[in-house]
Amino acid sequence: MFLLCGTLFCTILTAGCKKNFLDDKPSTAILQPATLDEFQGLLDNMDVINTGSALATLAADEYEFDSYEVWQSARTATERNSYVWARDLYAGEVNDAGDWNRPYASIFYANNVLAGLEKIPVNSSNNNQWRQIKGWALFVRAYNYYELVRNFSPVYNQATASADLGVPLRLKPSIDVNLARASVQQTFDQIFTDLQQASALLAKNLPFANRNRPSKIAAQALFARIYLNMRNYAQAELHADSTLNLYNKLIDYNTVSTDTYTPFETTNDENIYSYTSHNYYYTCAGLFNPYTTIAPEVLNLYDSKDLRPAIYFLKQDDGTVVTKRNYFGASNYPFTGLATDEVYLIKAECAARRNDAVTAVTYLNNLLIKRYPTDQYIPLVASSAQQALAQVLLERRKELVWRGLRWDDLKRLNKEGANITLTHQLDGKTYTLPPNDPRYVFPIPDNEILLSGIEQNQR
Amino acid sequence: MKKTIQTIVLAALCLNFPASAQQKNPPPSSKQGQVKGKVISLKTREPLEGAAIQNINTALTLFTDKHGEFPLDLPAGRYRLAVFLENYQTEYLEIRMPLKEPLIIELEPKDNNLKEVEIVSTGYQNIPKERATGSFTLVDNKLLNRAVSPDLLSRLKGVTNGLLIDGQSGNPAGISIRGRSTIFSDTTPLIVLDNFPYSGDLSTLNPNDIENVTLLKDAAAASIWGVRAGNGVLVITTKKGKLNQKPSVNFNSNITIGGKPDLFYQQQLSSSEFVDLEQFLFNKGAYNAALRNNYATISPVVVILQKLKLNQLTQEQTNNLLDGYRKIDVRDQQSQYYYRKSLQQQYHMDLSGGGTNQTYYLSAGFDQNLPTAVNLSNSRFTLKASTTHKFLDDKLKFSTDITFSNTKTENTNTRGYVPYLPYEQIADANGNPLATLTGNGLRALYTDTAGNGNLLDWKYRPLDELRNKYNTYTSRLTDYRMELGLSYKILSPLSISANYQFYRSNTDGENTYDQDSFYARNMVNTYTRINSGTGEVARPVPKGDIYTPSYASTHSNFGRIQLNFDQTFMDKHQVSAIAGYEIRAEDYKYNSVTLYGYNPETATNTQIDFLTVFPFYYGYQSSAIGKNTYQEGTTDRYRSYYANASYTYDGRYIVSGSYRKDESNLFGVKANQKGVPLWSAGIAWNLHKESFFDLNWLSMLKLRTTYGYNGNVNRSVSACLTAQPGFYANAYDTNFSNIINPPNDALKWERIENLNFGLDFSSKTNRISGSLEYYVKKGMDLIGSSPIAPQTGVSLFTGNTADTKTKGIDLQVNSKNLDRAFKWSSSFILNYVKDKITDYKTDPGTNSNIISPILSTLTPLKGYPINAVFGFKWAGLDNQGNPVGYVNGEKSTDYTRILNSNDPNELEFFGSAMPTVFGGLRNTFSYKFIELSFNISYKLGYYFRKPSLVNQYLNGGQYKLPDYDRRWQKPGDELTTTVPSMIYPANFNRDNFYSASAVQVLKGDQIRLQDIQLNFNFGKAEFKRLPFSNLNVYLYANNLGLLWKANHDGIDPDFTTGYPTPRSIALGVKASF
Repeated sequence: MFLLCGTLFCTILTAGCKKNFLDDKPSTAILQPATLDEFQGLLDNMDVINTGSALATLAADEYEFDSYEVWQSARTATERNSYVWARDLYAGEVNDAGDWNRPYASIFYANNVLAGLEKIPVNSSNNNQWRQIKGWALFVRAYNYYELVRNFSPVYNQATASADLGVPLRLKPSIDVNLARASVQQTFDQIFTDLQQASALLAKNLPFANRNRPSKIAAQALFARIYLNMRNYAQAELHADSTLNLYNKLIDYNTVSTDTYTPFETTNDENIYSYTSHNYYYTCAGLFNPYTTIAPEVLNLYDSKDLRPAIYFLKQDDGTVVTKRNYFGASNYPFTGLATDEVYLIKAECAARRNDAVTAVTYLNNLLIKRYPTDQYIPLVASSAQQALAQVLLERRKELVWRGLRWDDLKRLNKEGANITLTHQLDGKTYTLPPNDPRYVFPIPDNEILLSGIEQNQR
Repeated sequence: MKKTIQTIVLAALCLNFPASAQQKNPPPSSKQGQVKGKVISLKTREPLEGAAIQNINTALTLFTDKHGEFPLDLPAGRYRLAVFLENYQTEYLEIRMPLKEPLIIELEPKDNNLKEVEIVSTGYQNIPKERATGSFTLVDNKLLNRAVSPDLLSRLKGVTNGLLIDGQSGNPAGISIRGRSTIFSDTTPLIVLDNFPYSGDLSTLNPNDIENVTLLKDAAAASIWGVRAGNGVLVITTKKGKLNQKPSVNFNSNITIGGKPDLFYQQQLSSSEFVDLEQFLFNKGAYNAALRNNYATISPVVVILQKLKLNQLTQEQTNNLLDGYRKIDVRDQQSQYYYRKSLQQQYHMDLSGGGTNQTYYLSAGFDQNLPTAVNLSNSRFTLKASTTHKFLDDKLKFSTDITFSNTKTENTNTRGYVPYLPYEQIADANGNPLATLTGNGLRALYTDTAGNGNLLDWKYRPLDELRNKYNTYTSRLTDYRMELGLSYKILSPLSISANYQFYRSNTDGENTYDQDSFYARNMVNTYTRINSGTGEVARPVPKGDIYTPSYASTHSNFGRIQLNFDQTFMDKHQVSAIAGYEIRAEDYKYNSVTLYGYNPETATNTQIDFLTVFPFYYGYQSSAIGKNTYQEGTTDRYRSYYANASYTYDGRYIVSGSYRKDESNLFGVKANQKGVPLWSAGIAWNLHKESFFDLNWLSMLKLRTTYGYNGNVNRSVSACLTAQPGFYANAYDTNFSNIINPPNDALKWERIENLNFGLDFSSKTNRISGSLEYYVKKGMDLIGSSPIAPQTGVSLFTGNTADTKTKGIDLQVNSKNLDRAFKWSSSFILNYVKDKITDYKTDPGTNSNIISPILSTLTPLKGYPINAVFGFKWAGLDNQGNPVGYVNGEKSTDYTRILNSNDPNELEFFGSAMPTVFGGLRNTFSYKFIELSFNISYKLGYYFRKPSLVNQYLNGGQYKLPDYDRRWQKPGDELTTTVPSMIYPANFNRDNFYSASAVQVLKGDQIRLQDIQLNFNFGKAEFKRLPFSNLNVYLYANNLGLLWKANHDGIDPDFTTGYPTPRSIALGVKASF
């Protein structure tokens, strides 16, 4: 009896006095990121970090609706409005899905990781991982600021870049203040600052099993993509070269099955960095979507021997054509990330633009020989740089179809006088989008404007 | 002084007024025992043993022996005595010593409709209510047993002053004490079982083992529970044996039968209307995209319309076929096959008693419940044993309390049945199961032929699933609780006590999809691959059952050491104090695993490839089979220090104070804020004990007031960056995490400031008694969230943003209207609660954020109730059937601008979504051994939003929508209806505006006849030949329905969707030996 009493008292007293009694982790479902592994866990969140906008796919000229009825039955007004380039794109619908929010969420993650890394002392044993994660976070920030500026700002123009509206540049994890829009120039400056650092920190080799993670190769490829978009072809070529010096593998399409809906593995040879559109506008911007069909004009670009159409597209019983899974190798949303084929085309274009038709055609042929049946490819020849450029631009449409890049090309090429007017027919009405129209810049979602008061784009 | 093992009047008094005081200074003449008093029953004239006689002036207490006698050795003078005995009215009397004649005190058996509450329990101590400053509501045993139900909460509904049990009106927990005290934190009151917080499932408690329930409502009552007391505290006291009581055996059994639910209560499109809708959508081309492939579900009506379009059917054939569907209403068969009359059975037996040094209570209970849904059943078995022992001249007291319960819950149709179409048929005329479609499933034509015999049957026959119990979930919840208590009187008046509780609950769950279930067959077929060349069939998901055993366990350890001090100095100064230290550790674990190809006979399963992404048999989708194991766990650690003291002067003036500090391992609050100190203070004045108090008709009048702080715990926020591991690995098979909480350095604990004024009164013969309380609660630094610009990377900011103020009144009046052979008594409860957001530090967003019609999140607005109901101002329909609102005071159909407006003037404010006035009126009539009572409950002063005809849902083929027949169809309809026209394609904002408009808001006010109870009580006194000492036969009818409601739309405000709880009637017998 007394023994029991004594035990009872002692147990209660000692149990609670343990120093670490209150330090036990409250839940397996919650963690407070503090270690390098935990920060890496945040960056491995592909739903946030490797997922971005779909608006560019919706607005470009790669697909069509085959009837007014089907256009009407698209799920959201934004999908319908994208097709007719309506000035009021969202028609009041809440665009929470990701065109604006998702890149900023990635930036928020990256900023938290960068802030957290400051608190982890670097030593010889964690140096490599520390550098890799810091480079990763900076790369994520750069990638997503570019994702924002390409959609929500006018295409880069050196003369006006300091006045053109870019996007708010958030570099700290704090959520206390709202920032106004920086200029386009400031936005690009920030992107390059981050990317430069990232490129120096990231490992040189491709992370074979985890293509959601960036490498120096990805950083250089992103440099090349951005400079091309800015029409700084000299820099674009430099970075395309450094990308291809590090990694230049291409897939031989002769080895790719045409029977499957998933022709490419998630770890295929050309995928440098995985990134896809978000899934909100799935009725029209998803793969295999039953609403739209790939524009006949696009299908007609491929010649009969080209292996690509059978791998990229699926013809349905009613004649409509949908896209199969592309370089991401999973999910039903388009791959918009970085791949070697794009870098070959950047290199070829830049060469052509500095009048080096031979180099341009060489890179084109290196790529295209993998896209035709073995021994049946007839190498291209170009009599002029002009002709080579035309060939490259045509190949960009064919090779990079449904990768979210066409819209940026339209903006860029129209800026230098390509004079491409888009038209869509619906129910007897014709809708057009003339070159350099303000509607090439998407409106910022309403809730951002309402809550932060930043300036809206005029369409 | 002592802990709360005892709860009954007698035992508690015994401890509060220690007999040791007596023994220490025995009156010199007591040994002779010449002068004695006697206590007898007024009714039976028999002596009463164990009655406590308290000398109010000195607080000395004596007990009657088995002859009902007690020694009365007092010096000459006037004395006021109080005589307490359980189940009897407390008697106050004044005597003059020496006695001129023998003192015989007659005690009147308690009229149980009047709550003569003497002792309340805080879980730390028992306080005679007379000496309490705080606000308590006690629900005694009689009242608890008035209702017949297997659970405790439904017995408190409508009869508990200050408690609202209502899942419909804006409180997620469905239970609130004095309104809502928090916005985003847990709104559940703290449940204390005997001495310790109870985190188990309340449904595992057998209400027959519960003696009473005390509600702690204000700071003085609840602050002792610290950071978890912000929502109020519910203290449940279980039954114990009594000292000096002969063994008694009680048996209770009852059976409850309830009606079938009315599936036609909730409005929906009639089958004919739905066929019309499908025709409309078909003509608009809404199904064209779906018709492009050969597998996606399309309804039989669409199939017919497509055939008509392709000239495979004539118009006449089509109409005939469609007319067939128009006549079918699936609810007829649903009601027939899926519902039944409910049946509840309850059996309970207990044995209790006690000697001079020990008490015991043993009980066993069994409940069986067959609810209206035919696939559900549950049963519960409970055991309880509690004992107390006293040693060393009562210096040492040891108590044990062990409870065990085993609850088995079974669902034999876990997939349920939600008709995809209103004209579905699940059985033919002979009752044979028929195949139906599922939403997002496969087309009938496709499943007819797919696979050419290489696939499993791919049809879904809901009735087969139900009858063959293909989808079952069985859970066995076993929990046991063991409490040990020890108290030792070190040196009067000081004692020390220690309590320890061990609690463990295990839930074993088994979820099985039989290999013949649609779920399993569909899963097998979806992943099946047939090699077109060889015809070889590969099945990544093998044939066989899909079996998911799961295991959840909670175990907790509580410990408490408490010093008690209780002393009366110089007759007039009474001091009672406790101080203690408490720790609590609670761990929860859950894990489950899914086995495929399971064979229950051999307990074997097939290994599965969970990594490969397999293409589906149909269409373009592909997916991995999905992770099959799941684990999670939580760990709570609390360490608390507390103290509570009260001082009573001459039984007239009472001052009390309490202090508590909690520390926990919760994430988030910075180290120096891990602990939060909370305190309270209170005073009370027993006016009737003043010499100047000479109101003859008023025998008791007490004024009291308290002030102090409670807290709330919020686990969802943190001062630090927190993340949650993702459930699945990412596409590259790597684990990742999601940020759930951005860092917030400024985070603080929520605090509730409480101010309470109370007045208790009782007329001379208890003809009228009751209490009136007024309180003001201020919520400070409440956690709130509001939309934030997406550029921050998060969409909601959550932090200490809100201050609230709640004012309220709790009134309870009990009256004896007739008190002769025929008795009539009433008990009236009125609760008034009005809350308001007094400050909100962040931007609430746009008007559509404030209204949130579709997402029902709370967006508080300064100056309005926490659960404010707003509607967009309504300007009727225009001549095209479009709903019209206002922009800048002008009529407008620019829905985007209406929704995005920041001008609160464009909103119409109605009131709170929570009842602001509620309570009940209970009338009890009795004549001899018959008692009849009924309870009328009311909820007033609140609003709700009625369901709307949402255009986008119509266009998506949904039929569970109201008002389709009332929609605008032609110009002129706008004069007679408020339901907008159907447009195609839908305009989401038009829907959002209409659903959230003022015209959709209705008053929730209602009065309902909650229940009627009829009780026949046969006592040995009246029925001498009764083989029992008491026999009780009772009838109880519940959920009797609305007497009045404010809205004229035919909507019972308690049930805006689904169906009202059917009426039930119970018959029961209670016998004592």
